[in-house]
Amino acid sequence: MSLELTLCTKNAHPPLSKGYVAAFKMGCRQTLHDRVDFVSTTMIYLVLLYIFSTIFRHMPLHELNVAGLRPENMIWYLAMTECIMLGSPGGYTFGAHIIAQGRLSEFLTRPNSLSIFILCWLWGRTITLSLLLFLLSLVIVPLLYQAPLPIELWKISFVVMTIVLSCVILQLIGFIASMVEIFGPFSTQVGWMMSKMTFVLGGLYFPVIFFPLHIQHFAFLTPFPSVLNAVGVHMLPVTDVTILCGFLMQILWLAILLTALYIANKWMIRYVMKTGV
Amino acid sequence: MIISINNLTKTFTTKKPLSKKFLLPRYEKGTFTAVNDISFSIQAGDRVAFIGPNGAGKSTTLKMLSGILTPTSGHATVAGFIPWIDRKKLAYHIGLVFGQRSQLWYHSPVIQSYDLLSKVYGLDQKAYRQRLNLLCETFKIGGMINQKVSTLSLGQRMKCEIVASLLHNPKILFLDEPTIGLDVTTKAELRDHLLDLAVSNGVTLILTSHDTADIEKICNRVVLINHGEKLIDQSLEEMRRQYLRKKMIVLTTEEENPRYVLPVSWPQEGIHIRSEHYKLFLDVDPKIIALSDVISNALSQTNVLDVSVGDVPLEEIIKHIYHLGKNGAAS
Amino acid sequence: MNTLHWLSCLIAHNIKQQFSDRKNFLILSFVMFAQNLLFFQMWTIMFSRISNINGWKMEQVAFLFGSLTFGFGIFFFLMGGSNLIARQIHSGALDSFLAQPRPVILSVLFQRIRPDSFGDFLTGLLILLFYVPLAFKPLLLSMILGVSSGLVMVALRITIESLAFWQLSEEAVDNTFISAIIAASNPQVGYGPIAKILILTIIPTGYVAFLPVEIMRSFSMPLFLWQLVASVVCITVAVVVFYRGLRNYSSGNNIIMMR
Repeated sequence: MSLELTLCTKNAHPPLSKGYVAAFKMGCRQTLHDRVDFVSTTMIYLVLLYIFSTIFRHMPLHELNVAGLRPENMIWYLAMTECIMLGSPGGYTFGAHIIAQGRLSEFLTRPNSLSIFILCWLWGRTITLSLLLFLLSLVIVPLLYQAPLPIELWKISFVVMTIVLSCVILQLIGFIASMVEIFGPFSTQVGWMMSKMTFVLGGLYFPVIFFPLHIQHFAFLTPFPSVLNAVGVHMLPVTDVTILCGFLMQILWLAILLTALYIANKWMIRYVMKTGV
Repeated sequence: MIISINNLTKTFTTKKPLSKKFLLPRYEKGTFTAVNDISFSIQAGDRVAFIGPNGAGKSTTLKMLSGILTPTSGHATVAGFIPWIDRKKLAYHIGLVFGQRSQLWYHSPVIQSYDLLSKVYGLDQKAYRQRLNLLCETFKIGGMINQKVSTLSLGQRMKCEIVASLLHNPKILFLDEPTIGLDVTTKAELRDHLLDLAVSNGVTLILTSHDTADIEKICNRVVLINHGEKLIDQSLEEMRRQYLRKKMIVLTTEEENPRYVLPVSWPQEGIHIRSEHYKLFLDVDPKIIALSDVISNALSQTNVLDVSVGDVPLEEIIKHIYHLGKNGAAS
Repeated sequence: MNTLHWLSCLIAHNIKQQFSDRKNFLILSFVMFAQNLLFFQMWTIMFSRISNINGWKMEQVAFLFGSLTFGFGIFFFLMGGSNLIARQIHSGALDSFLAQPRPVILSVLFQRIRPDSFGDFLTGLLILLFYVPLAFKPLLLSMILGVSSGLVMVALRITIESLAFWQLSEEAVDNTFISAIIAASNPQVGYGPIAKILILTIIPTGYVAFLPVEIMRSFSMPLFLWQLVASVVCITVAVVVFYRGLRNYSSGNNIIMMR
């Protein structure tokens, strides 16, 4: 039998974007196929919302009101931020696994960019899961936790947009941070610290406007509010300007992180090619 | 000339801890030369075995040739590219298989990984389907490409890995220990497939393996390196001729450990003796001592049940060469 | 006695092995310590704006967090195998423990120590010292309650991990435990009677924080004894579930082999 078959490529350098799109789709498909994972993640989501809905409902109303908040806003805020956090399980370690398993070399012998390829796959996975959880929240939060959706329906498209941006930013932070794995098995520890920073400075349970002023200022100097607060803020009684500011912050951080990724990626490849990690 | 390497050298810096102080550890910096001044070239269609003991520098060289590692000095071209500079352009022309690593997505069906790779290399989908069918036929994996990778056996997975590396029709295929951990039948099958592929498709194979049967079956040329230096570069035939001057006589005896039955006066010149259970192995250099003499001598000393005379196996040759290399008498 | 001697040797060996790489040990426990404190900041930030949640003030939340990490830290430090059970069931790695002439559950639990849990223990200790009145009685009480809630956590972990004997996947086991820890480690306020009965019986997360906090707030001997007995009952149930599941182990393996 002959395997002579001239193949391949229509031109010498086919568009690389096809590979990235395929990686993204692969990620989406994996999330959709992993039903056990989705069910058990939903279980965490339900438990969390139950626990915190009781907490929020038992906070003194007048103290919440100082920030103009009602328990329903808080419940929806948490429902949004947890979409992001639960949508990225092990968000800070996926990239590190690839490094730790010595798979970098495999990706290096491909025609496309190693980091963008892995990130596209991660984005596919996490955006799909986050959006699934968001869809779920639209049904279960009003039903189970008696908190009607505090925004008009047409604004949901904006929420979806910020969720996508949040996932993109979170994975970017995670991927850049996980590059420390090259120097040794530290990425788990770095991942812990990063995720706790995201919780605290991003405002996982409570919006950043709830924080003391000096912490607010500090928080907004980091990318973390763009991951969580920017999504949750849609559900708070704030002006459109505040929401727009959050969105612009996301765009700004996206640009900064993409630049950082470009530099870190270049540096990482040079390092790997020199030392053969 | 599809691959040419000139004076390729790779040195790594190493850190040796001097003090165990927690806060102020001090290190002594040293260097370690993994590959030292290697030169050779490979013609298109060659099937080269790249062998040497663990830590000899095989993988380092393979990594430099596939563009993953930048050498400290020296020059190389692979398929017309300098690998570590034109890494991404070279990617379209080479395939890589690591026996101990997987490029398939563990929790997904094999076919999904293939589809993904076809997009990565920007293959024309119709041609890709045709090629996939051909490869499935050659490697007999048609039945398993819809299964999840996690459910495949090691042998099945390895075949799927190799097919994954061949989807974009590379001119050169690097295989790093492709048969490691496989059982005898699967190994034999895999070798047949690889040989078939290389011969019919003109793919240049570069293979590292510790299993000499892989080399004998698939390759037509051997490059042997040790301590980062090239010891031997010749065709398998040449190597045999040079080192197979010697013959191996195997005697099966009634006595256990027959070596100790032999008298001290047994001729020493030109013979190397080993024994195992009820077998006596004699490596004989016929130029020094006649085979018939050795056999008749042995027959008179021991109760021989069976005699066989043959070539010294490749494994013994390689062991012998390593030994020479160690004693600094490689040439 | 023989078993106890073996166990102490095993633990000593594990600790010695862990300390051979002291730097790694210190880094791991310090990072865990730091991230716990960071996480705890969420509550301090919140209580800077909110005076109480249905009567729960900062002291209650601090005691909850402190005693939980304290007890959790001790047990998970020593019983580092507790979070490997499901993985080892699926990979068939329990075989090596089954071959040993010792109680399987102990071999599995004490197969290694987890250096990061030492950081949990330190966080717990620090928070307890900081928020519990510095007197002998309340400190001792808080530590005893911490140990008993740690025991309940271990029991929960063993029970959930043992569900892998009934073919529950590793990820599902992990996520179930995360749900349990979320349910247990946050202020449990304003629960109705049904929820209260649930968390004190079928899903015994109430013994991790809910009941200890009540006992700490106003000590009563019956409640204290109830807590201690309940934690022993929990761990007994966990061991029973493990051994019940272990009977499925060999048959489970056969199914995998026949596929």
